[in-house]
Amino acid sequence: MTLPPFDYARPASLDEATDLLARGDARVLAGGQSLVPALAARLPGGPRPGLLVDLYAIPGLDAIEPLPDGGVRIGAMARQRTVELSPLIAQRAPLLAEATAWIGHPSTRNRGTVVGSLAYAEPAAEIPSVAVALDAVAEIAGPGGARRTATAAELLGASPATPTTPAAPQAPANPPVRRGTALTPGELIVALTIPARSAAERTAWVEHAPRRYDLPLVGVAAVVRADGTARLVFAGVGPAPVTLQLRSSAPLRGGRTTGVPAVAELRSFEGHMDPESTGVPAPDPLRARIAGTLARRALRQALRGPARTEAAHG
Amino acid sequence: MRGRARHVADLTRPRLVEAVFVRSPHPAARVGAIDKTRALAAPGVVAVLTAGDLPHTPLLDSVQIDGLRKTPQPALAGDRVRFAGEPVALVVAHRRAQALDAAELVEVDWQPTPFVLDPGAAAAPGAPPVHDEIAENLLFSADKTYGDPAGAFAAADLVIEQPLIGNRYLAAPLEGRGCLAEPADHGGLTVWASTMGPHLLRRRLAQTTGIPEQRLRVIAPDVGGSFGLKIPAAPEEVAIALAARALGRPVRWVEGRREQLVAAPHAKDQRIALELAVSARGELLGVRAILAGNAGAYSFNSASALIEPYLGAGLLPGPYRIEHVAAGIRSLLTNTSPISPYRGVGWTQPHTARELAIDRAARALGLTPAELRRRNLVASFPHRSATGMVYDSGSYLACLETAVELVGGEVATGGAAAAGLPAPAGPSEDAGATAGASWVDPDEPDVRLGIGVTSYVEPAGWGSNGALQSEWSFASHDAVRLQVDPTGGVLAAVGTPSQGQGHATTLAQVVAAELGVRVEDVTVIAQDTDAVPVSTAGTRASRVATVTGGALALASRRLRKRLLEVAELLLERDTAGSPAPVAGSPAPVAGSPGTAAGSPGTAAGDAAATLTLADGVVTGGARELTVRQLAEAAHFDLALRARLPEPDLVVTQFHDPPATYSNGAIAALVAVDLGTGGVTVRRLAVVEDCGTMLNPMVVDGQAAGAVAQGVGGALWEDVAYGEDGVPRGDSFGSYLLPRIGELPEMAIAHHSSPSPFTVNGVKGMGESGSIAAPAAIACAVAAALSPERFVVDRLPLTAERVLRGAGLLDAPDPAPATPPAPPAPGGEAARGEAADPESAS
Repeated sequence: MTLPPFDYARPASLDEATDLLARGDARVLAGGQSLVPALAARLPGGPRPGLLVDLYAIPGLDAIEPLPDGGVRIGAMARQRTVELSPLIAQRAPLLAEATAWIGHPSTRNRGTVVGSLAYAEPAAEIPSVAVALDAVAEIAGPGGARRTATAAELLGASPATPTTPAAPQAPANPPVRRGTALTPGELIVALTIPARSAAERTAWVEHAPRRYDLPLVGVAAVVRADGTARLVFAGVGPAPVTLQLRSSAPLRGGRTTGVPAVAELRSFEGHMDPESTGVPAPDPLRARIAGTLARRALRQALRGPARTEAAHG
Repeated sequence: MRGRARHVADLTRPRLVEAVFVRSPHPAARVGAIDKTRALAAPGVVAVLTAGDLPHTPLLDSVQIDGLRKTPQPALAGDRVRFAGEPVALVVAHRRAQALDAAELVEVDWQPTPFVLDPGAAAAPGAPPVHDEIAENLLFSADKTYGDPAGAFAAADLVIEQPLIGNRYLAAPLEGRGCLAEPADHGGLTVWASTMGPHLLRRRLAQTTGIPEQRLRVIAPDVGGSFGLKIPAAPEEVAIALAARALGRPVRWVEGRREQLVAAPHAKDQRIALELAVSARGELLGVRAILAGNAGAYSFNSASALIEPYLGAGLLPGPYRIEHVAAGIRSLLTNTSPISPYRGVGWTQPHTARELAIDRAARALGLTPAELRRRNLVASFPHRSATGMVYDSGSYLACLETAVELVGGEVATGGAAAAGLPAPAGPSEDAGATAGASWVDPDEPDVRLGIGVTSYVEPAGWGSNGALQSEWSFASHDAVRLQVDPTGGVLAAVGTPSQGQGHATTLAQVVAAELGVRVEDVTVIAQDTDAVPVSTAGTRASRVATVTGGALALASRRLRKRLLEVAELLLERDTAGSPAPVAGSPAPVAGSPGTAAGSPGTAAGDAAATLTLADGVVTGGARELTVRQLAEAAHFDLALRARLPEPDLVVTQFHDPPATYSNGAIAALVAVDLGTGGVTVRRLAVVEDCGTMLNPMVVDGQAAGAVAQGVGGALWEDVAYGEDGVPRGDSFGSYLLPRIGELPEMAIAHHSSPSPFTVNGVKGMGESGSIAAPAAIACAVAAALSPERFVVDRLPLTAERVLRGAGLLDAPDPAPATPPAPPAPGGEAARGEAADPESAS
């Protein structure tokens, strides 16, 4: 292993962990599937933490629990593979299960955590966009026993928006720069809570990468509600997930073929991501086109699949 | 998979220390003071060595071609670095992690200087010189003319201009480079290295260190892939050898992955402007091209930057009867990592440009791409190409038909002429008609299908003669030693180690078949310069089957004759009724001169007619004899030995065979997603003719592996430099290789046209997929997007290039392609009406 020098701590409690994290150069180690390779690369400008705080030994952090209101709570150390295969997640947040299956490979998912992926806040990654799409809320622990919550959108600096004026497309096809989260020093995400979803909503995750299972160029989460309104959340088009609300319910009524006319609305979206309403720069033309394509496909796929209530019986 | 392989990184030696290089973060810089103080104080550090500590003779391009300028390359740079990743210091510590930590503490006073990355810009006035003494960064420039290209182009009804910016590849073997050097007696060194050519490395180490070759022992342990990268001696290998000598203890270096991506030599990277002259009847009349190779910062030793454009020029006619050729060969120095060999060396990118041009010509003439090829493929043999290559035998037409047939079957079921596209040919129609057309996938309206087919000829099995036919001066011969031990076991000692090609199996099969023993009784050793005869070239240029294999076949025949002589003498003694002497008994007095001289000769003559040696048993005599019995007698039966003209079972055989040329065709069915620009290869048909196959399973494996690398080159692989002059790819997450999940079903088929010139009709093979698969895929994508008039002018075919080329992205190109033909002296003469690369892009 070519890791640079660092201190390592394996606290047994959350309070101990947050106290350790209060040290300015500390970083959380959960699954380590992004951080450890980045450390090993010793890249100029790459991460060089003085201390890694390993959450492994803190009891109970790996739980996936049902909430009484129909939601689900995912602990900071719940592995991606466990979430992907969890019957509870399949029932209460099938979009999360579907998207998680696209992260890396089974071997990396065996170690990587869903919450860690949220905290890493890679702009093109699956979990941040899915968390925003599902209105997920992060439970955050801070030094001195402080506790607070934040929505995934707040945490990532993503805000819902509707497309309005077309912006001038930016030319170079460079990936968006990672901006990170709104966590303050000493804070860590203890769990991610996904509130109860309507049983009638249909969801889909679609992504495109140069090679399958790579970090996507663009990914799209689609959530189609019973009233025909829909939410699309895009990964890879800005430094944080970009949300697009579809007000028009008519095109979504009537199943598969008449559902597709949302395409007409999305076509106008191609190349015209709106910086004013999303707070992010417009993506380059390539990402814009892929985003438009994937949005259509995500809607189609969501409408093609069974509603969640049906799936539960299937 | 038993986990028993021993690579350089697995070796253990007493007092071993580990080395890490300090490398330039700049593409060009003056190197001021290097402060070792902090590094030397770090835990575990044994030494920090810089250029001044390790005096040596720099590495030098060994190729002798008039006009090729020389670029001495030091093992460690002194006062100047010329590419990002060039090493300036060596940190030696007890553990690698300690050396890595300490390497970050070496303080170098870098004084960055202007640099140039693009070969087009390198030749422009005012470009910073990579080497002060080489004007315009022009390493080499020559114009070659074969036949009457001016006349051919004047007579042409159609001239296709085809620019191509070829990508910069990394060979990317799973095991990176690395070596371990240990001082030996009499000032010598033993060097374990991840190399393709132990003798070649020994020669370079002797030249640089001054240690005589007989005191240098180079051992290639198990090597995890190479694909050409490990042909040249690495400057790092020289530095490690020098460090071991300076420190008086074994020193090891194991290359890291990012280190490899940035600092190891890269490959290919030609800028091409090609023109094809075609008659209205579909005759390919002539081809002319400017081939401008990006040499990188040094013309790499043992290989030369010329391996790309120079070798590419020789194969411009390819498998076609193109009689008139003009080639403007340029090689330009830039502040990038040097270019070294990689599978398909030199040929890949000119082949791609020619094949793209042929497809466009076919479309212009209203012919299918397969039909235009059919009308022009070489059909009679031997065929002397316009550039002087003698194609010994082949099945060019048959391979094309088979490839089209194999790839066409699936498309025929695709149907659906949506969007007004021509319907695919049915199974009963001429399948060749399908190639070059375009269909919509009936299940996915955004997805367009296309087929590309390409014929290739592969100059394979380079002996010195093969090299000469490429106008290349290259001693490429082998000596092998074959010996039968007293128990009948066979040892084949060769100088061409395997990096995964299965030599131990294939070469053992050659010996077993020719000698007449069981394959499990043959052991092949190839690793150790102290144990095997000299191979001047090592494993490279698809030469092992014909050069090493040919030498072993000839050696086996000679040894077989000796074994049969022994058998004849034993059988003769049976019939004479004399008791066989006991091994180890006192030496009998030799018979009369008449008996001694005459009898074995006669016996051998009879033996050839009556006795058979196969599977280790001699039959055809009064009783069966095993090779073990023969070997026992040959070593210990002194009476018998006295009658043998050559009483030993050791044969050394030299071989340097004539050139051979493999051929074949590759066809690809691709799906292009107009919504994302994504390209998926759905099916590949690979048809190979390498003459007599020594081992069909190995041939298939080689074909499939080369095709996989060709798919990578067509779609993903590219070492892209950032504006800071440093490669952007820092892991296999950014330098994208094809993985098993991306590789389509491959239908592999064979024709066999044994070479009339080689032992057993064997030809070299193994590079064809790397040469031709990129063209097959590029032609298929162009076919799928033919309604959009997509012209491929750059690889790899990224989503952005596909969508932009098809006019499906509205914004202007953010990074316009560099003109392929850099301004270079003498270029216009060969080029005539120069293709304007921009006009077609």
